[in-house]
Amino acid sequence: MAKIEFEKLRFVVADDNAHMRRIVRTLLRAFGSREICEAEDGASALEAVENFLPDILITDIKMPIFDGIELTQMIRNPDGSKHPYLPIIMLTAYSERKRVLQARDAGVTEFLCKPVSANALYKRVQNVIENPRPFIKVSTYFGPDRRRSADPNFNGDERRKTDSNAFMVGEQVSL
Amino acid sequence: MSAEMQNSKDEEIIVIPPRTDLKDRVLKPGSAGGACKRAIKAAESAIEELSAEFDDWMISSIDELLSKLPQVHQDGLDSAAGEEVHTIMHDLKGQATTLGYPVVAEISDTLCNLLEKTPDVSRISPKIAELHVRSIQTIVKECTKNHDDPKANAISLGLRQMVMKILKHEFERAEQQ
Repeated sequence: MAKIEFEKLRFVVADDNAHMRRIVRTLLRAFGSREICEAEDGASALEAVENFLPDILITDIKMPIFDGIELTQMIRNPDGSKHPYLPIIMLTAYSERKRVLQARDAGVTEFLCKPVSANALYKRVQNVIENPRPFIKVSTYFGPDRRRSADPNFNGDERRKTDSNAFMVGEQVSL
Repeated sequence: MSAEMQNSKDEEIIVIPPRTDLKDRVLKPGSAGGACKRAIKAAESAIEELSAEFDDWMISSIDELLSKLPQVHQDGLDSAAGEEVHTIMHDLKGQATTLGYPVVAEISDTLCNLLEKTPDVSRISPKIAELHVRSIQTIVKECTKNHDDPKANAISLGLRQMVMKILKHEFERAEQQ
């Protein structure tokens, strides 16, 4: 495990509740981060992502104008978004399976249930940085690989393209 | 069915290798177990310092809830005012534990559960929402923080049992129709 240089990280924190933004900002500042931009709705968050160019977005689900799921879908648009590979941590009081799957299918990188703790937030940030996942591009999805582990019982056809062409795509986008 | 399963069997799936630019830029090689623990400890201390403001935050949320109640009584829980009460309760569900009031988070969760799961929110009496708001007000005013106050726990349990009965009744009614 290597040390995270938080002072080099830029965050956008999107939550319509000012108290929650204050709590998250306090935690991130204590970790060492100094560049934190706050947004109180989905539209301001998208603007902040495009102009502030954060390294990580931490967003709530329930927000005015458009919610955290819609915000994620807009960011994960490989043709229209300025920052389609941005790591996104969804921090929400919704913990139902339905919401978690909705967030996953929108392209969220990590999911964190409120109440937030220093330990849980640190671990999510750490995981985003230390264990970046491949991205999957199909007609119905663009985002981090939703398979967290290989299924040892899977015996179907391997449809994922991992040949040289696919890697060429990866090299192009990583510029 | 997940989006991935909806793809046609013939569709090409492109796997883009993980980007390592962030990792390369902000990870300093070497063991960091101590640094990680120190960062978490510093963050916990920072929240502890912030906690002096938590009671004011809680009181301002309660005042906001109380100010919405007359409109909710007039327009019902399926109105804009009802949605505002739901939003404040949802926020309390997420932050009250951090503010030192886990029982308030439980009570907020109970009301959110009712409003989100009932088949027809217009059938829920605004009195139920008021009962939750007044309970939170009582707990913050009269009970000790955290989970060790028997009165707060009894109030929370009573509300949860009541909401479970209402939901059961509403689901049965919806099925019969």
